[in-house]
Amino acid sequence: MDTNWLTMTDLSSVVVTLKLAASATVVLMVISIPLAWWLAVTHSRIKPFVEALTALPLVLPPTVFGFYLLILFNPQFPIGAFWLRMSGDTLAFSFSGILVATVLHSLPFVVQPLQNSFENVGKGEIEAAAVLGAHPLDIFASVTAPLAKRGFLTAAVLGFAHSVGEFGVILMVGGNIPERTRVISIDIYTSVETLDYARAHLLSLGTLIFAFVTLLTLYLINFGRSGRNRAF
Amino acid sequence: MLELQVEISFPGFTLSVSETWPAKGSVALFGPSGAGKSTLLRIIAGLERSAAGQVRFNGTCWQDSHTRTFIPPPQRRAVLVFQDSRLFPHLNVIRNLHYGMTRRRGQEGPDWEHVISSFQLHDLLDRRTESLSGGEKQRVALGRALLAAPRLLLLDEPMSALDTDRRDQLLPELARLCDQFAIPVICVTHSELELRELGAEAMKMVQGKIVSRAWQDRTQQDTTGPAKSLGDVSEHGVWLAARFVGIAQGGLVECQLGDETVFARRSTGSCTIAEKPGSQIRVGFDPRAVVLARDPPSGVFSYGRIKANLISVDESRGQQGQLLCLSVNGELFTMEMSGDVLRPSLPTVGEPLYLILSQPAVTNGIAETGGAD
Repeated sequence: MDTNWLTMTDLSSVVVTLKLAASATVVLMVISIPLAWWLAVTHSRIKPFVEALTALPLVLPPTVFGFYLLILFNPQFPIGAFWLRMSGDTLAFSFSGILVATVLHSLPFVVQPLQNSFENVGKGEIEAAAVLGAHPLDIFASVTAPLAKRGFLTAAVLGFAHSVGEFGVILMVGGNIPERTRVISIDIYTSVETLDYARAHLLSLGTLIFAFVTLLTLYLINFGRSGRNRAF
Repeated sequence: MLELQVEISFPGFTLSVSETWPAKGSVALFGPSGAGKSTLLRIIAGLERSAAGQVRFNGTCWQDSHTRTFIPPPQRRAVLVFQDSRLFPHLNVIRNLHYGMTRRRGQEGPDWEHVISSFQLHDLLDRRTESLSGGEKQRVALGRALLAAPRLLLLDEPMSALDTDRRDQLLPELARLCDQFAIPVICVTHSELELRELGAEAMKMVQGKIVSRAWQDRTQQDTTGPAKSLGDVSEHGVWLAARFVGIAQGGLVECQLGDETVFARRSTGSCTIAEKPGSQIRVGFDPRAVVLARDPPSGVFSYGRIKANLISVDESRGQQGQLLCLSVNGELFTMEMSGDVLRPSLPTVGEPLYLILSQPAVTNGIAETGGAD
């Protein structure tokens, strides 16, 4: 009973997960906003290639993704070597490593809603802003972004939620190191493996409620907005 | 000076315009819908990057497909007021008006108080754009454009959403502001009133080309030429809105155009006319089968007459004849008249003229939707 209680109060995996999801969301938004804007406005021939590359995590098994990342993170490869020189630590089996993996794996969940909302901003308003003297970046800040703000919210929430739910890639790249790379999903897996069902229940239920409340909030906000729009 | 030598193609449509217009005063473009008037404005504003050829304004090259020069819209300051006003939905009226004003970059232009009072925008300032009526939106769009200190103002049917009273008040204000700040205006319009108020030179566009102009002090050699043949009513004729009166003897349709009566035969393949007096129909006539009269003629046996106002006379054509720009109930059209006919006494601009039809007009049936232009 006592040992059980100890494992129950060990919330390190929750802390790691929240830290990971929060950092990933920030990095994701920083990368995705320019990328999604470029995808929304470009006529470049390489657009489909970039789109396919961004969407890869949607269809690729996390193991494949994680496997290649592990290879890239290897200090014998340029990226891994560069990181080791810069930080004195390897990317594999570190928090930075799982952060990189999570960001790359959650990219389509952030880029796609942003791209959609940028594309939905009418060409009309953008042309009006241009003839009134606004340059492209100015137009983005003063017209596109405010009109696409729902897309920003959706992208951030989906990015955060998907980062919380990450499992396969983190297990491949980060292993299962308590207080470093053990996130909730891996914690649940370990608890089940060690027949600690009480802990598995607690963590699973918490994650389930979190996921449902997050999505409900998102849909309620969208429902409220579209309902107001419909009134006009 | 605005020099245009542009070409642009979309599926089923080619625009090709070669014109030089003075960079002062106003130019009005009229013609059937789909003639490319709005596209021409978009090219000048810098919204059609794919247009081939050249656009030069006061000696500055704005666009040249040969040298791959393209000056984007913000540097051109050719402010286009769109037909659908395009206010920013996330900004209220006052912030919409500020949008262009805060991006003037030192360019001199009409001041705030002036524009607000001219366009009667005081009561609208705190409103959200979605709560505005069509006419109010258009007033805000016009104000926003002027506050952006344009070097060239491009108007796409600016007054179409306004009621007549407002139009009568706003047009002189718009004309005065543009005059005061020496802003040249290019305006797409179907209204004679707008043309007159802006003191504009009228150009007719058909199928992507400027086919005729009523350029009064024109010294340039005409390059595109007038419409060569005005024979076939279905292609080159003049079409005007009229009201159905009844079926006359012999099966001709009796129509009313203003206070005058015109007889028309049904064109082949036209829809059946619903025999309801007062319905809107379109009637067309061949301008070559028309005799002009200065006073309301009496004792003339004809297929009716149409009262028109003379807007302008293009005298540049000399021997070949004169191109008259006329208006009937606000609808504009041009027709060519032989110099021999007009020589004894040229009609003066503003004078009412009677067009006497020596052949029946043509009607294509009930055409609430506009009919064949």
